[in-house]
Amino acid sequence: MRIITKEMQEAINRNEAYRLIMSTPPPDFTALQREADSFARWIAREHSKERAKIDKERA
Amino acid sequence: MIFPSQLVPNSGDFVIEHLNDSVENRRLLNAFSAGKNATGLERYIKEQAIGDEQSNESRTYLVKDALTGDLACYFSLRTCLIPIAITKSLFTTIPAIELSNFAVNENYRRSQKAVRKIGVFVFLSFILPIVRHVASFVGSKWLCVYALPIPKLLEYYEKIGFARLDKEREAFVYSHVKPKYDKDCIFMYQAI
Repeated sequence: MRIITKEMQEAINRNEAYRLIMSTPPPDFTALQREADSFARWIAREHSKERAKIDKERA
Repeated sequence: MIFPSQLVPNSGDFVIEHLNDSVENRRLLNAFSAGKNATGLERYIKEQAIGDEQSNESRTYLVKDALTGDLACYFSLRTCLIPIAITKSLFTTIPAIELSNFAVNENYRRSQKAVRKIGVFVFLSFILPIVRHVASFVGSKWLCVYALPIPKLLEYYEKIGFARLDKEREAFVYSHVKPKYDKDCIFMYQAI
């Protein structure tokens, strides 16, 4: 199996751009999650109306 | 085997299925429309996705409306390696997962009238949980996309957390992993 040498790893780790790239955290999805939650509530309401309509038609 | 539906909370309003879960899913593909500027995404789901499943090149998932059974959108995932230049003679690679296709069904969007933001919902509720699950098993640093060079689309990907590399490193990625069919797509990534 191929295993990176200590020297090579250190050379890579010393690279500023690489360090910056690798230390980038995952995005903060707080605002996006609010949008998704708002969509989820909207579609739940729409489906609820649709289900009520279907039930009415069946009755 | 863990099914995609086990990875995501069941909202009751949408269900996620693997393309090959049923014959019915294949039938649904015919009714898919990606809208203008995205004919490639429509062609992929209709003509190529099943072949890629068979050759294990990528996995395609369908998000269906739980009430109507309509296909709301689809996305495909595959693994990849991203080369990163360190010096002129040294580069390394970053293990990643590529969101290789992601499209909302315009026919569904139209039928539901005010369906907006479904892409954001699907990204957070279905795509990310699968990506994080896979990454927890195999080790993967990034989720990435090769986005069509349409400003509105690039803005959208930025909104959902993707960023571009600096010009030099972006060019390095293209020089190593850009297939001929990809003319101008923009590489974007986000940490998982």
